[in-house]
Amino acid sequence: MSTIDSLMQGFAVALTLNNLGWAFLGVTLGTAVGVLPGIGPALTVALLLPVTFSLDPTSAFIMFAGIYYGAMYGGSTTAILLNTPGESAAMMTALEGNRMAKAGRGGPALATAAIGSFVATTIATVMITFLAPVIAEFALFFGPADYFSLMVLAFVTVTAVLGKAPMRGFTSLFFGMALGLVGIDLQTGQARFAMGVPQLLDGIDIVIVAMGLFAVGEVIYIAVYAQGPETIEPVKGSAWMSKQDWKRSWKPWLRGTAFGFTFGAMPAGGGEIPTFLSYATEKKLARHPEEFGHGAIEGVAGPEAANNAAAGGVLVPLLTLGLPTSATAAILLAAFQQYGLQPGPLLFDNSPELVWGLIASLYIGNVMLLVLNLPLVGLWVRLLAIPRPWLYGGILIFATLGTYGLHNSVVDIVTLYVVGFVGFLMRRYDFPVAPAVIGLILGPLAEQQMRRALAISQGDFGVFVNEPLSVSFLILAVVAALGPVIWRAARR
Amino acid sequence: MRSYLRRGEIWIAIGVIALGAFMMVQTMQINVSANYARVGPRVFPWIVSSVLVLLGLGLMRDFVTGRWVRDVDEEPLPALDRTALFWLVIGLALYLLTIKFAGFPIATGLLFAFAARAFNSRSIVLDLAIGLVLGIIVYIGFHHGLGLTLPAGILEAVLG
Repeated sequence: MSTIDSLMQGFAVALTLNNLGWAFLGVTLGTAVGVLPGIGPALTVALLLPVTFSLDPTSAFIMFAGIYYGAMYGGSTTAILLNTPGESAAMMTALEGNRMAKAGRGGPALATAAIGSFVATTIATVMITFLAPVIAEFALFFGPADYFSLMVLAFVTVTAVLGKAPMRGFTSLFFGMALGLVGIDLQTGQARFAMGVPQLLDGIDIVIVAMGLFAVGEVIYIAVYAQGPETIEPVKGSAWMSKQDWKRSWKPWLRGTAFGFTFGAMPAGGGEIPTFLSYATEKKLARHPEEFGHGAIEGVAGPEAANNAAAGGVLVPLLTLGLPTSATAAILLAAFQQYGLQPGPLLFDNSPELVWGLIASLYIGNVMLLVLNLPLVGLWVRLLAIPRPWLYGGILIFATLGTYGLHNSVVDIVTLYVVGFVGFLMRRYDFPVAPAVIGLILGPLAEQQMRRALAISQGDFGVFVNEPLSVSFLILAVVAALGPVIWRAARR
Repeated sequence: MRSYLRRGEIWIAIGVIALGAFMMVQTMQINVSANYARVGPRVFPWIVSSVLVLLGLGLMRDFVTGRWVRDVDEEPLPALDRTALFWLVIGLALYLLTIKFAGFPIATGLLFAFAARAFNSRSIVLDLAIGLVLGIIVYIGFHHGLGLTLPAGILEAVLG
């Protein structure tokens, strides 16, 4: 069946009244929660997981798609008007967009972010549509050794490429993997690291870890260190983009999309690098580079498009290889697992209705989001004014609800607090949090593939370097790990 | 040496080493049947725990040699707000203690009010009321609307 046919069938699924309703609920909730300061896309998806517990898988994932894209849109509003990026990929938007808002150009900044997001997400979704089936087909040839080496590559790229603090990044990653080891070993049935606590035999749920690191840890940090005054920039003057704004925005949108999708779709981890690259590129190409840092519209248009295109691109390795390369994707993967689904090449064969329904609803949700975010942006802006005590109180009660609602277990609450305290320490001492979430979900999968590969090779570790694909991934991983180190040494 | 021990960074490094070492001890207690001896359930834990120990040592070296720099904030952190921490810890502890018997709405109301207090809210009665109402709304929405089991506690008779 051709890709177009599959997509049409997907639309047939997504366009039923019920599923349109779930998509609309998803984008609305995603935007509303994503707008709240201190809540990035990963936490938005985690917080809204319980809402989908009772849905059938197809509707649930249609709603998730809406939440995921909605959270991205909502995050840019907060970044621009409040200068608080919900994730590091929104830093550039905050930097330039907040300056624009301060200069009374908040309206055009929000508009170029929203339209840029729409353009980027649409292109990214088209790319997903045509790229994903091809990669899924290709991935059918991957053996366990290839998968393991690919995961090693993903571990290195999501952790080390930014290069500022690889030691702390890897510590975060291995902390996540350590948490992932807790529970029954699926292949032998042996209990590991449960320390005699029966509730730990099922393992530590990623939702609890995400709530702990992103919600509890963050709230503690803000409470004890960052209770300074904040200023919400009012949207004054023209809310719409002038002709000049359009002229200055469309090229950055497209260039940003190209950066974003490429990095997102390669198992190279998230939106940080492409947004930085897009910002640097626009600064270099701009006619008035001196405006950068004082509110240049190109500096919002490019990075925001890159961020959203990357968010779309991340879905390619997630759906086709089961490989999450951002914290948000890791939580989406956990959502799949909750329904007993394992993303990967077989998902396209086994659950075409779900996969294509999800992809089709990405198109639909994106159009809904443009409507929700352009005329209605004033509505979301009001959410920014929620008094801080109530906002953080609210984040805590929903984090505990999401945790306790899983199994009605007090042990889960204790785990939430412990992880939350670790999250606070990580925030305090500058450890990146995303690698821990990725390590938690990807660690057990990597172990499984490693043991499968070694079972086939009868214990010979050479299997990882004898397969051409596997060894290529490993070489790339070494290059990614050592590249920044050598680069820095050479520059000295 | 003393001056190092007064810094948090060194304790983070020690904590990472301790976690790795603790995991090594635990790894030795995992049962391995003869069939799986070669690539059994211990192999991956060994890798993870020993890498954690190495990373902890690396962090320690980075700190001692001055390579550990904060890269997010240019400004130094303000002093830790002990009052805020106190209220937060009380709120979280109360939630843990009350969720089973007092029920979800009341535990939620308490957590909300104490968290709000940590963020300098002065109207504790109003916060308690808001928290309780939120708890009841969420309880009804999730319990009756979405079929999520939550304890009603002492409000069982009222909420059903």
